[in-house]
Amino acid sequence: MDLISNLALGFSEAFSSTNLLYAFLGCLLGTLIGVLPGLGPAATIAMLLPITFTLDPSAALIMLAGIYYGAQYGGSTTAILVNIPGEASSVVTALDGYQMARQGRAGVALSTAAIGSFVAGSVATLAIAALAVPLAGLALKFHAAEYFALMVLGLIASVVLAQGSLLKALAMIVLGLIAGTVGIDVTSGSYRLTFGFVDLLDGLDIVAVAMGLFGLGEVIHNLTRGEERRTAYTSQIRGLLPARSDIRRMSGPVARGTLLGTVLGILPGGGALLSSFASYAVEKRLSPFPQEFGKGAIEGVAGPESANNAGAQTSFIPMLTLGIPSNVIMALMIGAMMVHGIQPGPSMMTDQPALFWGLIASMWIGNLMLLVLNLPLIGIWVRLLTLPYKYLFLGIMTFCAIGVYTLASNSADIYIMVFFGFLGFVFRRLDCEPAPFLLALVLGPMMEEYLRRAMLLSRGDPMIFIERPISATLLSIALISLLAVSLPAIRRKRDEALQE
Amino acid sequence: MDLGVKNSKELAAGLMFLAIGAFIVYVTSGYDMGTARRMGPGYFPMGLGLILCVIALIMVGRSLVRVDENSEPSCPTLFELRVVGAVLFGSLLFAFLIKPAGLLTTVAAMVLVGSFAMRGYGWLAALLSAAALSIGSVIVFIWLLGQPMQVIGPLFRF
Repeated sequence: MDLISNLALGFSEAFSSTNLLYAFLGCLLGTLIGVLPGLGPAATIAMLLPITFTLDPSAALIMLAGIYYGAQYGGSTTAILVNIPGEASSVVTALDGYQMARQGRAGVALSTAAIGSFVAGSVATLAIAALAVPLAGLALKFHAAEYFALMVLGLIASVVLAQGSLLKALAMIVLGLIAGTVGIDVTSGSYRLTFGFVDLLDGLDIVAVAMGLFGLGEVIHNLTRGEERRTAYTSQIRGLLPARSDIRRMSGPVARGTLLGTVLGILPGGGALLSSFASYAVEKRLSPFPQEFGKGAIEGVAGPESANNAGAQTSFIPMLTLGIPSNVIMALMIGAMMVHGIQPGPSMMTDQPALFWGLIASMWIGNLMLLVLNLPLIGIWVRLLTLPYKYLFLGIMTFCAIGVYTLASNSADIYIMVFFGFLGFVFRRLDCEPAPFLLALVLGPMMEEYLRRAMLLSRGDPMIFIERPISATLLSIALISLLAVSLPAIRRKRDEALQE
Repeated sequence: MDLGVKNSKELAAGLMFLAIGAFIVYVTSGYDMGTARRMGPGYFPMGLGLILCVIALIMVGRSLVRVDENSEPSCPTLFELRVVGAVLFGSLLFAFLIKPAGLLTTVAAMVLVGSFAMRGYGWLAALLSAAALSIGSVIVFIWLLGQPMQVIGPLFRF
């Protein structure tokens, strides 16, 4: 049994005391920053990335995975307690979770979310372990044309499934791809879009751009919007454990949510967001008490929370096996891996098996830690999430500046951060989501490389993308979904579904 | 600022993307294009610049026809500019000061400038925040994490 020996290798790596410590620290810091007002998971990870750069690669990856889960869980906590979802995928959790909190069942809602996430995380970890080997095998059959088509599909999918204007999101993707070409062209060695700045020769640093767009950008956004009122239901967190009737009601939704999330998370661009929306819709339809939804139905927390955690986890699959990030957070993870000299992709599994399987095992450990860590610490999170923004934004600014500066002890990275902080303000002001931009920035250089290789193979004939069956399928899915969303009727349906 | 435009945010976004796209096409037109078979450094960015222009033109066209009831004016207010200025200038100050002045004074200066981003912060609160954050970051980043920065830079050493 390869699966078992692989997992055994992973657990022996992850269970070393230092790695356990970093998994713990990662979860703790991730949740800590994740529950703070005005910081989504992307900003949390961008802010905490520099801390991991001093560690050895496997400890760093394990800590990052912990930060990711912690940040996700922090998002659910704020959704339930203050009706402010930390990120898009916990929007659904806020619907019923906040109502439960208002009825004095905040503790039950939080533990439902934690238990659901743990179950989902465990199943999804197994799914990753089982699927990684065959998928990496499939990846070896992929040539330049297929990789290019897959990236196109990933970018289109991230637009189609997001809220807001399709055209603006497409423009942001193209802009991100353009930004990805800044620096020395690897093939010809000539300088592109560097405008005479020596510091731009290596391209735009992903971490500096992310800190600008999400760190400073969100600070500016939150300050200009004026302080939102956060009233947490602090006094009523008693009775953490769900009653027997609650457990009976949540087991079905958890199982279905896990399944949905595991499958949808693998799709490029899908991940956590789509899974949680889909799960909520399914549960509402299947539930014997549909009238309770939106008024504190435990199914409305259990299903989506399981789904978004499973989806968040399986969205590692395209990154680990193909080297392609399927969302912004994965893009940041790739950035972090590259700092450590790890190239994610099919060869990672064979070249660095201990690292690869250690990461997968640590995903499960991260989920377990969240369960044991967060339930007892809920009191602290509650106090943190009502911290006035006044005391926070200066700390965020400090963290961003020091974090970016210490990347390379170079002030130029701060100039890049400030530039993108300004762009982030302009983008948000014009209702353009910055997330697709960052995803495209990471994918851009890879896309260009695969495009060049494919065209070289085909002697300049673009038909190669249509003649090869896998590539043709991927591209037609991208085209069909793009056309589908631009049709007014379907578009309205999508907006309704996302709004619901 | 409303010139009979039905969706001023979409128009502004469209014009911004159009300007960027045109600029990219202009700059990359100086690069070697190569051929479709052997792409030069200019091929990919130039193509993207053209695509961006097309998308932007569609946006501009649509904004003149379609009404968006939720559309707010796209012009930033004075207060927004103050927030942007304080946050970004504070961060820039960090870049200028960190080498000569060291972490302690740099963080303090950045925080003092940054505190202008919020109305009615008060000078006492700003001073206290500056002290807390600068001492805190010296402890965390230099003493605990061992990052290569100086506590007090050459500027203040006599």
